[in-house]
Amino acid sequence: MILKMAFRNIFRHKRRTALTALMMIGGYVLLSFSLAFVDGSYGDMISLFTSQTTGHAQIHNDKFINSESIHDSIKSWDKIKEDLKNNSEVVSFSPRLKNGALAFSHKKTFAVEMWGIDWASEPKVTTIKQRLALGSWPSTNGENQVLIGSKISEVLGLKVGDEIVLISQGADGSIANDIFFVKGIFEKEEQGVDDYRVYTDLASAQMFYSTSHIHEVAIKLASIYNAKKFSTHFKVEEGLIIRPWQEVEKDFFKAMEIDKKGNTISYSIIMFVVALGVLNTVLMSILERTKELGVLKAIGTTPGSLSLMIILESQILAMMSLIIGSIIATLLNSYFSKHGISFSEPMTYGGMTISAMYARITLNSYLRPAVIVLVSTLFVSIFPAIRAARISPLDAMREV
Amino acid sequence: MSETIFQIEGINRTFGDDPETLVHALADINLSIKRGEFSALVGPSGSGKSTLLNIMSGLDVPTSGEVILNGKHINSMTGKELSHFRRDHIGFIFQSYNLIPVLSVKENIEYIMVLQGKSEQERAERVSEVLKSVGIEGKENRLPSQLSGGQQQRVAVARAIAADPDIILADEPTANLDSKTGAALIEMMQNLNDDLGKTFIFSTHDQKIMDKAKRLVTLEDGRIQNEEVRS
Repeated sequence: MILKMAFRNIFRHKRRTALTALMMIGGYVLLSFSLAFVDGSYGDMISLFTSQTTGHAQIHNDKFINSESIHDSIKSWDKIKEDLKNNSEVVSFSPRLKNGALAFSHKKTFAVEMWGIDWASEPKVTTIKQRLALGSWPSTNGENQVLIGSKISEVLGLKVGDEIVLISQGADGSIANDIFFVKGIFEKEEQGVDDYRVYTDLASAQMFYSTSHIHEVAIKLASIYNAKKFSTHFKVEEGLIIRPWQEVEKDFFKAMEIDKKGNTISYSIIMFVVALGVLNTVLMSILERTKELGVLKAIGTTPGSLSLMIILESQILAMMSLIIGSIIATLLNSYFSKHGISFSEPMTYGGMTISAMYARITLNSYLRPAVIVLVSTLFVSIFPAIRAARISPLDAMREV
Repeated sequence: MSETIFQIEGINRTFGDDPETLVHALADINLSIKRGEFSALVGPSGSGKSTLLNIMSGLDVPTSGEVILNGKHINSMTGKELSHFRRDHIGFIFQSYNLIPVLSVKENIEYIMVLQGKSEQERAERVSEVLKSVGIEGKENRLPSQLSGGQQQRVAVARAIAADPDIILADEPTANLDSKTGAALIEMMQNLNDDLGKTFIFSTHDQKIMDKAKRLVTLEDGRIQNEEVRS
């Protein structure tokens, strides 16, 4: 009966109920839309970021993470390769050998990061091929060919086709030095990822460093959102470690999470305005019904039941608003997940260029606003509910 | 008339804190009500009739004295206990009907029984019984706003008697009705008293009720001035 009364009370003042529902719907849609855009734009940023070099997950010798030593390598590459090939989650993967070297050309030297990569598989994991500005992508059998960052080209005055001498120390302690040919130069950008890197084919790098091992395997998955789950379930032998991008790029992930938390302030403001509106409506309805509440109490309704009725009224209204709100939010989010919002000028964030923002429909963009609306409505209806419970039937019935 | 169901002992009710402006609404009231009474509290405005009814129902608390219903002291009850006390023992009829506007006639009548946790079948049987007693059969699905004043007050009477309370307290029940409708309502309540043995206590100015009452308690300045028992 209390539920029935609560439901019917909502429709006593249709216009006021409609206005309150509109506020709730508006708040919900705004929150859902904002979250869908946040999820979408962060999703795009993560995709961009991970596709530069990181991939969705990486395998290392667990000592290599801190030491970055040539000796802390992956020795069982063949087995890992087979396991990755047989895993349905994995789209592509690429082995890497990583070490430092000194580049020499035109009587100048420059400290570089030397990466031995597989010319065929690396472009399937990262966007390395798209970043090439000058020259061409090396042929799979092209040995001692290198791709260099724009900074190296600038400092050493290198052009496509020039020779570059690389000097380092081999895994066996020997002096490693060899002549390489510049096959391509990466695009120049502010804090570009390739600025200080020299890429060569894996076999040439292994020969250069006198090793048959690798240091890193970058993995691309069918869905970036499964990176953590995949990393937990994919088994690697002892001494090796598999980490999702969130761990590999801890700083980027943390910065993104902090940025996301910053959005909480704007969500709180939206909900504060909605909550004030709801509080106003509930208080008004209590004030108007003081006499009726007094009668209900006089004829035997307990204070708890009166409170429950008031809370139910606002919760039912909130739930009805959420149903309508989620339909509107779905339409809006679906449209913007396909068409997005294009920027008049591309935006740069952490060295990545973004030209449009897209919404992304996630459970989070529906559930979180729903919980926020329901909880804040519950919160603001507690005070009027207590007020209703404390009403003196005698005083209330004297009200005209 | 048999057992005493209501006992009021030495009730005083004052309003205000300042001794100079203190209002003695009730002073040293002693009254016992027996089951099956059809009594009226009469007196001029401000004589304390409504205050006495409010104290009897537990809606107001006396400054001193005791109100005992079926051996239970209601002054010391908590808010929840008072709610249950009113639900189970008191039926109310108010001057301005005070039906719940969002509930239909049937729902208004069965409301207290729902609070008491009675079964749907028990409620349905009782509702049809009381609807017949108060003469508003066929209107059970209407909302109070779709009824006349007289019909609304009949629903209020039906609500008051539906849960079979020990006593029905009626505060000026005919004040908002025209004389014809008021007379019909009084006759109906008298029939309920005669046929079903319901106990009615009225606070009234209505001469027709005074004429029908089997006991008249006259209050003046918060004191009982006279008690007249009629055969």
